[in-house]
Amino acid sequence: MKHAQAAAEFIADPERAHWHDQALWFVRAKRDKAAQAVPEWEQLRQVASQIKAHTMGQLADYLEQFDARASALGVVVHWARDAGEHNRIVLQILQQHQVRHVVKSKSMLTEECGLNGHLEQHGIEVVDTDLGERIVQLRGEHPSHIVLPAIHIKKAEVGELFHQRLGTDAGATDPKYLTEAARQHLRQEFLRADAGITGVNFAIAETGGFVVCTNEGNADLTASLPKLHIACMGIEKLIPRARDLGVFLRLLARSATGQPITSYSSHFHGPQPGGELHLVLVDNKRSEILASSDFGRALHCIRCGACLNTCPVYRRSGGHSYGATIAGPIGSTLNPSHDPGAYPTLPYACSLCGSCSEVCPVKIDLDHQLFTWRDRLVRQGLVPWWKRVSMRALGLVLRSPNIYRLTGWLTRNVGRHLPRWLLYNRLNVWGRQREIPPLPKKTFAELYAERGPVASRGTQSQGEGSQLDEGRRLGESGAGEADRENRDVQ
Amino acid sequence: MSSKRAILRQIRQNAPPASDLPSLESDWLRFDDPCAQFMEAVEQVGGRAIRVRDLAALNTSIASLQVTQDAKKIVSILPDVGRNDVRLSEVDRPHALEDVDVTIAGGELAVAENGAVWVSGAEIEHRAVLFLCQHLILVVSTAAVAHNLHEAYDRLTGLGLVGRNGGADQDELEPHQSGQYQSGQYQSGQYQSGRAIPLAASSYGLFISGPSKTADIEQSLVIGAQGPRTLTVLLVDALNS
Repeated sequence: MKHAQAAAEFIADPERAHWHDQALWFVRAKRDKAAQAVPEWEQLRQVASQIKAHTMGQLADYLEQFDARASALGVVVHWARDAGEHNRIVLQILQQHQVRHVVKSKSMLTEECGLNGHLEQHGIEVVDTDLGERIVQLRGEHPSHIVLPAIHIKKAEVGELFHQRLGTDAGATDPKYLTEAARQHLRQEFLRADAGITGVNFAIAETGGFVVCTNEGNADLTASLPKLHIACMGIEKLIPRARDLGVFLRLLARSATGQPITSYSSHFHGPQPGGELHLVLVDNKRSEILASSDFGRALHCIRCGACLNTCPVYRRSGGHSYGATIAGPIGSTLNPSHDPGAYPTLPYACSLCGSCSEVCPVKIDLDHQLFTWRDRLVRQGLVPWWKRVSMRALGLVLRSPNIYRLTGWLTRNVGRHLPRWLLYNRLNVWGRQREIPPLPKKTFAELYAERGPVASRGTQSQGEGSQLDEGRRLGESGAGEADRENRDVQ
Repeated sequence: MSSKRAILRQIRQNAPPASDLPSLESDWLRFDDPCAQFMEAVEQVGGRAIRVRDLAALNTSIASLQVTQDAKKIVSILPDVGRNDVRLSEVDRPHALEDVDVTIAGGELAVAENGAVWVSGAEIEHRAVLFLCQHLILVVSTAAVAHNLHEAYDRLTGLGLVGRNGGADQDELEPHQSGQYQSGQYQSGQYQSGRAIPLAASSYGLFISGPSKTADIEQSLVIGAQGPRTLTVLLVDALNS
C-alpha cells in the first residue's frame, strides 16, 4: 500500500495522531538533553561514522576474522544468503534439539526474515520477551518502531489485551500493574523455554564476540536459562575492535532514549558452560546494497531509532504506514534498496527537513539519500503518471521566463476568483489537508522594483541581515525547531 | 558454492573504497571526582549507590539494607560478603534459582560517565542468577572507577593504563588463551586499578547500569521489567583491609 493511503488511516483519528507525535517528540527531547551533556558528542559521531566506513571497506576480511575467532571460542557460525536460508538454518537447529518452545529477545533481523511465522508453521511456539514486542505479538501485529515496538498502542488497549490474554483486572490501565503482569507471565515462559533466540547489536571482529543491549534484561534471561542460544545478525553489525564499543555504546542509548547506556550491555564470547551457541550471519541483499555509492551508507545504521523520533512525517503517520519492518527515514532508504518496486512511495514520506541526518549517531546522509531516491524512482518510471505529468509541466514553466510570468499572472488574477470546487478537487492531492495561502497582489519582482536601487538602502539592508541571522540562530536551537514544528501542525 | 563463499565474494566485488580506521585516543570526558559522579549516575539510572570504607562497613551496610532484611534466599557470589544461602556449584539447573530474593556479586569496573558496573561471568556459576533475583547488589572498589567508557574498554581489552601509550599489541591478545586472567582474583582482593581484564577470556560479561526497566507502555518508565527490581551498588574504599 502507498504510504499516504496507509497514513490516512492513522491520521483519521487526530487525537491519537497528536498523542503519537507528542510521545515521540518527548523521546527526541530526551535524546537532545543526553547528547548535549556529552561535550565530545560531535567527535563521537565523526569517529563512529569513520569506523563504519572503514569496516564496510573491508567487510569480507572482518567477517572472516570474526568467523574464525568466534569458531575458536566454540560458537557454531552459520551463513545465510537470504531470509529463507536464515529461517531454514534456525529451524534446523531447533529441530535437531527437539525444541518446542522458544523465547526470543528483540531482533529486527528476525522480523525482516519473518522467522516467527516460519517457526510457528513448523509447530514451534515463539514468545517475544521484550514487553513492547510481546504486546504487538499478542495483538497479531508487527513492531511500529525499531526501539519502541508498541509506541502506537495506548495503555487502555494494553489493559484490554492483557485482561483477555493474561487475566489482568478488567479496566486496569496502570503501566506499573500491567508491566508486573507481563513480568510474571514472561518469567514462566523463560523457565519453560527449550531455546533462546537473540539479536545482535554489535559483533567484534577481533574477539569473535558480540554484544546485545536491553533495558529489561530479557536478552540475558533468554540466553542464560535455556542451554541453547541462537543469535541472528545482519552482516553489517560488525565492528573491528572491542574498543570501538566505547564509541558505539556511548552513542546508542543516548540517541535512542536519552539514557547514558542501556541497563544491560551483555558481551557473549562463546557458549555458556555446558551450553551451545549458534550464530547466524545474514546477508539478505546487504552485500548488494554495499555497492551503491548513493545508498550503501545506510548499512552503517546501528538501529537507535533517533531518525524516527525526530521525523515530522513518521511521528504523524505512525510506523505501520511504511508497510515495512523498518519504518521512518532509515526505512525509507533501506526498503527501496531491497526492492524499489515494492516501496516506491517511501522516499516521498519526507519533508526533506534534514533533521534525521542531524540526529543520526553515525552521520548517515538520510535526507540526501531520500532526495536521491526520488530522482532514481522517476528515472525508473516508478512514480504515478500524474506526478510525472505534473513534474513535466512544472519543468516547462520553470524553464521559460515567459511561461513562468504568464503562469504567475494567471494564478494571481484568475486563480483568486476560481470557485473552491475547481481548486480543491480530487486532482489537487496537496490541497486535501491544506489551504492554498492567500495570493499576493504583486509579484516579488514588482515589490523589489518599488523599493528602488540597492545603494540607497544601506542601513535597511543591514537591519534585514541581522534579522536573517536571528532566524538562523532560532532555527538551530531546539526551541526554534519546536516552533517550526508547531507551525507545521497548524 | 557455499553461502559463506558466495556472500564473501559478493562483498569483495561490491566493497566501497577503503578508508582508515580512526584512532580512539582522545581527551574523552573526565571528571574531577569520578566516584561522586559515578554515584550520581547510578541514582540517575534508577539505582542506589552507597560508599563504604572497608569490608566490615560493607557487611554492615549490606545487612542493614531493607532488601536483604526481607530476603528469604540470598546468593552471595563473594566470599565473606553478605549472607549466602545457596551453593551455586551444587545447583544443577539455573531454573532452581527462580526464587532467589537477593544476589550479591562483584563488579570489576565501574564507569563514572554512565553508572555502569562491569560484571564478569567467569566468576558466576549460573549467570541467570543475576537476572532471576528480585534485587541485585553489586560491590565494586573505588579504585576500579573509570571516567568514561573508552577507559573502561581499554582495561577490558588488556590495554589497561600502560597500553594507552602503545605498550600492548591488540593482536597479541588471543581471546581463548589469555592466561593472565584467573577467576577468583577478585575474591583474593588483588584488584588494582588498571589491571587488565581481557574481555574474551570469559564467555560472558556485561555492563549493568541501574535496575531492569521498561517504558514500553505509553512511555511510562516502570522499574522492574524482567530482571532485578532494584540495583544497589556498594563502592568500597579499601576492599583489601
